[in-house]
Amino acid sequence: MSLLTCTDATADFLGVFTLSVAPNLLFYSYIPISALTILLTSFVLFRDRFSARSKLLFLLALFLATFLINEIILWTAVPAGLIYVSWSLSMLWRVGIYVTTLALIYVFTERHYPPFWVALLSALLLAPIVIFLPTELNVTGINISDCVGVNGPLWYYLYLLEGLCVLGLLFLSVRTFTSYVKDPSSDPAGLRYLLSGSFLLLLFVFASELAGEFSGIYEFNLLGPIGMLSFVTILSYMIVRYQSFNMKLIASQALVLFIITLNASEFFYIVGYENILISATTLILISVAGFFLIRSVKREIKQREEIQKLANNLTRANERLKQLDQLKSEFVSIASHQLRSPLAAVLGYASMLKEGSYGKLPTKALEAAMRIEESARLMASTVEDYLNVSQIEAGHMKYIFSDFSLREQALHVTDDLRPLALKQNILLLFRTKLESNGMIHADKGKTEQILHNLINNSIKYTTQGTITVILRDNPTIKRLYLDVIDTGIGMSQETLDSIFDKFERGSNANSANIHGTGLGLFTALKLAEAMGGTVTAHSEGEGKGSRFTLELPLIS
Amino acid sequence: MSRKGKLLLGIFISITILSVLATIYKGLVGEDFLVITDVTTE
Repeated sequence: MSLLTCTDATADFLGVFTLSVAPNLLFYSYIPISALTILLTSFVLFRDRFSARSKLLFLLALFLATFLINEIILWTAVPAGLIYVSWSLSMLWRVGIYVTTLALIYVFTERHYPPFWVALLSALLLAPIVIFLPTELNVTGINISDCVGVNGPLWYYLYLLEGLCVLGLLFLSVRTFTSYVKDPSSDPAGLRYLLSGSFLLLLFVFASELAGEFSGIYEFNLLGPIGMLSFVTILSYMIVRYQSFNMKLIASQALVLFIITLNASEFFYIVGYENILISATTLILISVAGFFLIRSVKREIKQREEIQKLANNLTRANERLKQLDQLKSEFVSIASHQLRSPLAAVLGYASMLKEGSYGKLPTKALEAAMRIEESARLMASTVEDYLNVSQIEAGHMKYIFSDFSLREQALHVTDDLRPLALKQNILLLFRTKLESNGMIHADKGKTEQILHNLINNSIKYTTQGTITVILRDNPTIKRLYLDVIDTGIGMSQETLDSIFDKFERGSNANSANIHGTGLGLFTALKLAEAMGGTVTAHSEGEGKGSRFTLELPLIS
Repeated sequence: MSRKGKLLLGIFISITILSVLATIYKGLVGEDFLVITDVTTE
């Protein structure tokens, strides 16, 4: 090794380095950054199964770490020969960082290595740097009075290459952004943010180096690696983003390591036993706290993974349930269709027997025929309910909209159901309080079905008293209301909350021996909603009667 | 990566290693570089 040494420093560490002239930031920023980038990228390399992008990221980290170690040597070395070697090689690491970054971003955006012609062109552009590395074109000489190398003309070529890399990155960013503007689905992972961030960070590194180079204040160069660390961290995050929660663990481990290395870096320049003692104590405390932090993060990750596993199982079970529900609806639909035809025949023949189409029947046989007809009618109504529900749930219900007067229709349905009410000694009344003509735009058949369901429901649940049907409107907000108010058995708040659910019946329905499927109100609500309206229920409590209100949009 | 690409990379890495070794030899063993003592070189 050369005996020639710099005249501005004396070796006080390992015989060839001086720790007194280097700025503290050098140890604070360069040492932890080198360790962190290597740690992060090694993790990514194994995690991403040696993919092209993780290999390039690891290579970038190697270049960065080598460059930083080289910088530390440059700042602390005393022999002129060692400074010459470091100064000469720094060009190689720098160009390596830029070119690898560009290649990495290319692989990220294109998902494959660059074509051969691009690789050949890059090799040709890089050839002068590699070939002239040991010549005076790179480092003209070493000024031993201030330990600084004298740059040759090759350095201007290096700046040109670095500028080209920044431009290349700008080009890739603009291209990604343009394709994103044209088709937002082309960038689901938010690559455009990564690219613009990378571009700004690389520009920051480039600017800090140029500032250091041209101003002669080399402290500027210390800022660049901080930008590079952010860049490497973002890329690592991007790679493992969708793979595991373990990234959080790695991040906490990296943070603890960073703080410990930062603290340990102090030992390079602190003097005095007191300071060393304080630093050592801090280091121990930080290490213990870091250990517990990592342990708690590990525990949290484990819990989150278990929750995620449970959530996945739940999602699968939910999907299976949906499929089963769909199958059930289809089955009910098919079964109901199959039941309809024989039921129509039973009803028809029972009716004909009753009316004497096959001769006069004895009284007992007539009674039997009437019971057959009544039961068949009840069954037909039940089948119709099931069919309606299955059609609503499958989304196959068809609506034919037209303009008509709800007043006339409500009056018609009320008249139809009045005999049934009278049979139970219930008075069925109809009132109108209309300010408009009561015209609505809806499906006439479905509206009739809703009215029928609501009034029939009230008749079923009213043992005595009256049922009042009131038609009213509010032309200001263009709504039409039909209230069905009864003096029946009423409902508790608990029943009210679930009265519109499928197969839901009043809590006292079974004890009162009331026949029904529990689908009438559900069907009424779904049909009203499909026509832009709704159905609401109200009751003061059990034994205090109920009020059902159908609300539909009024046309002017 | 294609075979051509691998070949190109191999040649490039070989030249780079030779160049780095030459630089190390020149600086640490041969001491064949210009030593300036003038403070105002830059």
